[in-house]
Amino acid sequence: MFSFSVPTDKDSIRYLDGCIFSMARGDSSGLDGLYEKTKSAVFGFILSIVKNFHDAEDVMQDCYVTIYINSPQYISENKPMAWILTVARNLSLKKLKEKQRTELIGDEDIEKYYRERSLSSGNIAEDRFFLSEIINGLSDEEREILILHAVAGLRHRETAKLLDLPLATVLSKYNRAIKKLQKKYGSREL
Amino acid sequence: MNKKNIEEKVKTAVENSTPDMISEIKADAMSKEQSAAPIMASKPSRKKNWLVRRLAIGFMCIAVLICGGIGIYGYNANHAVASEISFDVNPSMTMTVNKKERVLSVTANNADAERVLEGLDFSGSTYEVAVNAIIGSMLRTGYLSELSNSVLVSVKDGNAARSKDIETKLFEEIERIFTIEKFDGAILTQSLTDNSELSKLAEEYGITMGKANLINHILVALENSKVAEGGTTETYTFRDLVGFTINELNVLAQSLNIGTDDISSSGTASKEGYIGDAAALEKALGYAGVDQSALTGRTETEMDYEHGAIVYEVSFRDGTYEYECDLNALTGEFVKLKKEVINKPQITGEIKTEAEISELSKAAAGLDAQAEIKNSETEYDREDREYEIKFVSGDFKYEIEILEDGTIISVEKEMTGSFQQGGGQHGNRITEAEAKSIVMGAAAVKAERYGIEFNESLITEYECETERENGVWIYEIEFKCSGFEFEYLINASNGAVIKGEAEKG
Repeated sequence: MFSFSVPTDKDSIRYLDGCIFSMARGDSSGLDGLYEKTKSAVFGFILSIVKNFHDAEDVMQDCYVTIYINSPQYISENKPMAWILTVARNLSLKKLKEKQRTELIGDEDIEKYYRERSLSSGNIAEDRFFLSEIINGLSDEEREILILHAVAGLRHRETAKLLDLPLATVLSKYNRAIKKLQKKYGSREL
Repeated sequence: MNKKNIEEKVKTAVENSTPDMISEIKADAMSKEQSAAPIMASKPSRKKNWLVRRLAIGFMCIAVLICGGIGIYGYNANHAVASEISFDVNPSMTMTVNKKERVLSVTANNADAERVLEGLDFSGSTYEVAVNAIIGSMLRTGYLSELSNSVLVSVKDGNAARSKDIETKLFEEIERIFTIEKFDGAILTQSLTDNSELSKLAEEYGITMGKANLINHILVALENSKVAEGGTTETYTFRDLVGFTINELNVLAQSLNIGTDDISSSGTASKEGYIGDAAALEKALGYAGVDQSALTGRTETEMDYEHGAIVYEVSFRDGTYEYECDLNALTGEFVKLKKEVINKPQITGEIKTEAEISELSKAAAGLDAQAEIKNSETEYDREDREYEIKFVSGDFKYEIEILEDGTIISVEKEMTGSFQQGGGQHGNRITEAEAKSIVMGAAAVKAERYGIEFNESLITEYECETERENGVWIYEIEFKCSGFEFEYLINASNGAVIKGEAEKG
């Protein structure tokens, strides 16, 4: 498992900007660096919108390719994550529109996906519980807000800006999402 | 379980479920880049670029959202120009920045800059971000290349301390980009204050104040170096140097050792576009009629400016004479040759008549007796008992020093015209064949650097067009070789490489 550091501190912003500027100059090593640093946040956010692992993979691939191709147009404003996640969101919504409807993810789907992708986990039962609850047990907004803060490391006001929601809404939905998960986790059958 | 534990577990579950797709992504990105790259560089195709446009609009919206938060408060601080920063390579552009170090505008000063800035929008970004994009674009579009690696950054700000601070930050940022790109670049930076003379020059010639200031410094150094050499009385004007790229000016600045308090220089200006020290020596020996095996002592090669062109100044000696030969650094064409006896002999032979001296001088100049001579002047130095004879024949002027017994002391031959003003071998333009030859040499250097198999026999779809940009004739040469598209812009008046680019396609 990779250690994931939240890229909102100054060094991380500079690092991500550097990766994007490298890509803009045609240097693909920038893409390696950017992917390694942001993949979980991007995948998690996409998954929170499309609610399907395989679709999330497709969108993730499109997302990084789009970022690479469009890196010359990048304007930093010291918000590389906001830019990346905006691309991810736009592509996810497009995917969602194409598919018209999404199927709920069952526990067996999660385990099958882990097997297919040779993904490892210290506690697959917990992963299965949380992924299933996030995807099936939370509302769309709760899910996106939770992932943007807990995984992508955005501050709540940044989430509010990205999703175009009032800060108060973001805060209350975030707390509600956490409470739902706490409650379910307490009564889970592992 | 508390909130923090839940957040941690959510994060862990997502991390564990994230697939490793970098190989697929890179392969996809590289293949899509092939088709997208020309779209970025030129006018976008509507069909393919819908996403780019949508995203661009999206990004601009983010920028507007972020900037919008600033509100009316501080409007003047946001919109008043605090600093003016110009970037010159051959593309030339000027950026205005407010007190909060945010970019207000970036203006292209020539057509090359328009190409560099195409598709870039800096409004609201910091100048550091903007410089990153600008330098990146110049590297990508080939205006900054191994053939032309110098950039001039000039900062004008009423506040001297802030100006110096911006200058330092920009220098560090560009150096950082060059390091990341493994690009062996040269950076010139300077801080300027209001100066009506410079403004006037900049306006008259359509260049930045920064470039005008650099040219002024070079002119002063050129005059000083010529005076120090005690040679030519040629005067240099601003107009002579105004068409030069920053790399050419930097080659001169560095060879003249311009060390000023107000222009900082780092890195070495590229000489890759020139014929090279070894070829220059070979040519110089050919012009002097000296065999390599006859050389004694050290040979020296320096860069200088003569007759409208950057020249190699090659110095060498054989057993009898010391030589100094100037030749066009781009084409190797002859400019000037002076040979002088190392040990001045005593007068031992029979004293010659003035008519005999005249014939001997002609022979020393390599001219036959029938050669037409104009503007002949003869001076006799009683103390040294020697003649100094000057004349013009064909496209060259000569100066011969000869003892009264007919022993040759020195011979100097120099072209009369200028490479820029029509007096060169081919008038005021290099030929298409010469432009092609310059491009082939430059492309071979680039191909070697990037491991591209390059050979003239492998070239397909060769095209050469001439166009006039900002009053300068340019050869635009394009061709394909080993799966790469090469594009070069050559200044037709002096053969300088303005742009050299190779990309897959």
